[in-house]
Amino acid sequence: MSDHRTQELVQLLHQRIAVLDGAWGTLLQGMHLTPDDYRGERFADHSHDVTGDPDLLNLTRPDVVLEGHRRYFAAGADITTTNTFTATSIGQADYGMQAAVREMNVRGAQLARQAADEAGGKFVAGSIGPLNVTLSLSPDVNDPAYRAVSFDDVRAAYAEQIAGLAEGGVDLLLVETIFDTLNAKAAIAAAREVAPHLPLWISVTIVDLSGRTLSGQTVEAFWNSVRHASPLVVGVNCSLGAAEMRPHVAELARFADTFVACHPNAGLPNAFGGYDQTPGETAGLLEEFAGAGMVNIVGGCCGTTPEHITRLASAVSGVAPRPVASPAPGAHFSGLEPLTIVPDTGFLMIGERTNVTGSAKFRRLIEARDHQAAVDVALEQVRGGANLIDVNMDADLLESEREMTTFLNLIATEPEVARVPIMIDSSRWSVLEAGLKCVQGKGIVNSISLKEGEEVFLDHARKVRSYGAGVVVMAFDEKGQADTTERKVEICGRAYDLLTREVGFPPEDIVFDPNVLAVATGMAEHNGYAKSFLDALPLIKQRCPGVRTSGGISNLSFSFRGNNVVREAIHSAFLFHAVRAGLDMGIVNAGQLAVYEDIPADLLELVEDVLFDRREDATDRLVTFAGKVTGPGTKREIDLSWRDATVAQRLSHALVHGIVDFVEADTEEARKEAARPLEVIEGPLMDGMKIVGDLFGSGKMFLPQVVKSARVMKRAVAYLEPFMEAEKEQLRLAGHVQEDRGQGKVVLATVKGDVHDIGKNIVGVVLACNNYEVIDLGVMVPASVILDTAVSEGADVVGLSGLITPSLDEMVGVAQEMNRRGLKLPLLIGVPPRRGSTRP
Amino acid sequence: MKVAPAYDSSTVHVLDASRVTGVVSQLLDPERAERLDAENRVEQERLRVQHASRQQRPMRTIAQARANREQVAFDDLPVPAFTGVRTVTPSLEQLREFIDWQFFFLAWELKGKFPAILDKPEARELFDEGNQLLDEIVADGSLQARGVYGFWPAHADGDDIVLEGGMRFPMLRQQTEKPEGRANRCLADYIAPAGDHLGGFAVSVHGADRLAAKYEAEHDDYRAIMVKAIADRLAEAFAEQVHLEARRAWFEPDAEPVMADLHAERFRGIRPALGYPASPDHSLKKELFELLGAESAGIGLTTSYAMTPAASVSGLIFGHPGARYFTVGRIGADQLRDYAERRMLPQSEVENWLRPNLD
Repeated sequence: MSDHRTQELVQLLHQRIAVLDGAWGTLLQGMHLTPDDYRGERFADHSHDVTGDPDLLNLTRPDVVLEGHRRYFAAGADITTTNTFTATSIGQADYGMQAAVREMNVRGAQLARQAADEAGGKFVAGSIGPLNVTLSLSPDVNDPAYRAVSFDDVRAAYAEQIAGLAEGGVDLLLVETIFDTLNAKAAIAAAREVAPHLPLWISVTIVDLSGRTLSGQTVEAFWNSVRHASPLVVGVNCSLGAAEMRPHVAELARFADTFVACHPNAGLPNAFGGYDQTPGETAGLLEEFAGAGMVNIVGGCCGTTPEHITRLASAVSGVAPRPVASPAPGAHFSGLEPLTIVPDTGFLMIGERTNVTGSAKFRRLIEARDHQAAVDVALEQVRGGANLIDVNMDADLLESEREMTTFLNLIATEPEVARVPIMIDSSRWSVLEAGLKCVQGKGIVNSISLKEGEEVFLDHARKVRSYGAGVVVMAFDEKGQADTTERKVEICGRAYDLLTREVGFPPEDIVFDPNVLAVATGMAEHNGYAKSFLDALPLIKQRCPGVRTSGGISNLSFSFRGNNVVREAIHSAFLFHAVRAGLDMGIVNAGQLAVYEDIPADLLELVEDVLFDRREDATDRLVTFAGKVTGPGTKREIDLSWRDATVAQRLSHALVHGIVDFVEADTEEARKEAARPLEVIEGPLMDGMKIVGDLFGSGKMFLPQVVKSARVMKRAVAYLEPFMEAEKEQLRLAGHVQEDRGQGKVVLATVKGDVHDIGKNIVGVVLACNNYEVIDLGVMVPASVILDTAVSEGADVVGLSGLITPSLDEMVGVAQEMNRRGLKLPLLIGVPPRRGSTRP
Repeated sequence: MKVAPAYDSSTVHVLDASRVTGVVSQLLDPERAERLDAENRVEQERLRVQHASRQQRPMRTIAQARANREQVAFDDLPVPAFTGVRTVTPSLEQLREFIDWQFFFLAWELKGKFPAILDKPEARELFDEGNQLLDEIVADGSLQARGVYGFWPAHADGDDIVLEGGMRFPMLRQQTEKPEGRANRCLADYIAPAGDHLGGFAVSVHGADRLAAKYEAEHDDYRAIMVKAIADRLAEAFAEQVHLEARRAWFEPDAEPVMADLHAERFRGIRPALGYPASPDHSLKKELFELLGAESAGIGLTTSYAMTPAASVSGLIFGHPGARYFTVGRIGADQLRDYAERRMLPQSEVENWLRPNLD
């Protein structure tokens, strides 16, 4: 039945812009229903109060519902939504109406069907609301890992609803007002299971001007998460009026390769919760959307009436529908934010530290249930530059499914970590699936393979696809692990054919891991492992167009555990070559990657001899070398070779390494070479500090080192001070007044009543290093002094610091005073975060 | 969320030092500033909405909360070896052993668990240099530890702790609904209705400001910041050591614990600080300091009741084996009124000190 209707709908959408109905709330209000109307005869003795349960009217006042559909069709709608927005066992629990849910949906669909058939050539969309529970957020502020419902609960509830809607005869399913993408994924999974023939229309709600859903995803990240459902329509509805909604619809219209819809509220709510936007206003706004080629379907949500729909319909009639965009190139994943991988993207780092098999430290944290510290490991990886993080909980002493669920639920509430896509890592399917049920973004499953044969492989692949995730496929088949180039390419090719042909898995969502195996183990058979990996990469890309490649880099250097210097050199050299050979991503310790150019030439040669299997004794030579360099902790010879470089290079080196020993001498040398003392600061010193800044910002350098660099900078500047003063004096006498403000002036202070200043001092140092002039007023500074100084010194920014709670009030006071004085300077606030420790 | 509404132009919260240059440069670049301001306001609004709409546990009445107090048994009430106040001046050599280095790394924004963090070369270097400075300080006495602690006969009267002589410490009680089996706690519950004692302490490490200034004058920010970080650690170590001495004087004369147990709080009793979650009213420090005669030990209070010098720690000492730390959390208008009466201060003033606990 529905295939034919789907064709008709598709045809319609190609021809013109279709019109959805409007709100039901105001409509029903206008019918002045009494509590008895809701109860009806049937539920006269029902235990709960059911007044206001709109979906119940399908059973107790079907005439009213039918009338509503008729009115909207008469007003010009092409599609009506069924009156079933909260008709799930979860949504009806408050009314105690769970037992009637199936029937509510069947009847609701039938009523809409009846009206549609009467009007002729109309369509019925089964309305599936978002539920009043969230899978991605915790309702308990003290327990971020807690969830009120599970994925399976939600899927079951939706399955019941969808079965009812299908039975009642809907033409398509509208999963709308989505504020938590994970809830939507459960709905999609239920729809695929129970009514796979019905097309899907998936509509997201953006709750405020941040442009994100309540659960924190951006519009693009949301689209990446649901695209696997191949929806017929994707759209935005509710929470906002058309004007506020425009940017989100525009964004979706740009990259969604399917039809786009929009059903906004009648403006933003007024003080009483009502809506004031007139039909003409809404229609005018949406007419503009249509003219801009942004939409294929328009309609109304809260506050709209049949009048709105009539005006809408006439506004868009005759306007050409939006042409469907072609699919955006590349691979797309998401956390709270999207991750797009195109040829220009460059190597992606997958953080490896949140893995109990790879990190004893992380395993101990999980075993000790020190979840905050475990989340910090993830945070560190992301801050160190990880584009994804790999989470693995496979350990004997752990209940892996539970630990995976807890940890992923925790990270979901840590925005800095949840920003990136998650790679769910386990050797057990049950753990992988548990993980998939926690992730609202589009992540990647690590991994599946042909180890247990085709049937199991295909079954797992289908399940991964049903959750919309990408998949890592290991080069592993029934015969074992692939160690030669030929075997790697053969297995990947076979897997590729099976995935694309049998499962319909898009190549962009497939990542092949051709096995990074340990070299320099002492066993000759292993010597070619790195080379066979590198050689396989371009061949795999050729054989399997559209896929990505990955590898667990640390495996390579297993033989050198305990020797970080050698390990990091091996990783860095290997990555350098692998990326050129086509490696798209790798599982690494983000933030601890050595720079290829910095590997000493002798070590590099030995490492590359091993990697490329260039000589028989390569392993022996590297092992011998390794014995001499035992990693951090050994007293290294003080290497003074850097003293042979140019003065600019020497200053830079001293800054980056925090070496004060020669700074005055070098600064003097630079001063003599420069035309003005300031040039020394703005030239070699700032260049050096910029390197420090970049290293610090990317997590390769740490605060103590930065402060040491600052020390060097300060001494250099102090040395130049008298020369700069002398120059100023000369210029002043000659009539020129110089104002060297560097980057800007910042006034810092710890507020009145507070004495804590370490944070402020650190900030002052970092700013000074970056050529800001810092005026630090110290501690217990009253607002008047801070602001008088800011004004008299012409400051560009004011920074306030404080530790104890009363200081917050003091800061509010400063802000108010700034307003009163008409100051427009930016205000920076620094307070230490509460760590939630039990310590006093 | 609190400061931004008070100010029309940009208010930006800077999380840690590594962010500050980026933030400041953005703010001062006219093109980027507007964008940062807009994004920032939107984010703040989102946080405000989220904060406002977050689900809150319902509130009990103060009477109900008191009825749900913890049932604490007072069997053998130990008697401290002395009552009144003692001054202590331990050597830094002695205090050094009590240092919990975990927080040292936190102050320098290095993440990781101690001692495993020492595997990282930058952490190892920092640790070695911190200890080097500490060696110098111990040798030349540029920092000095001086503090006071004591015990007073006490009993609980409702939610107040009353000391012999009449001084009262009114305590606040958790008031939101608790799950089945969980009590609405109050620190006064850990003191018996008669015949008990309360301890208190205030300790400080003096000289850090002067020593840091010396390094600043030499353009050595690294050492200047290091001095303060070390002084803070020593002050906390001092608190740990004084608490141990107090336990020995009170009920555990043979206590010889290992440091790991102390840092993990595996011992009897607690030492909650005033102004922290179990007793959020900073202003009670005034009464505590009077009791202790802290001024004579060189420890003062600012107008906001922050302690000076900065490297200071103070708190109450409870000896009951069941005493635990907890968070008072939100309180209702009824408890606020009641507390203001017991505190003998105008309600508006009390509101100032308890603002984070109010809706």
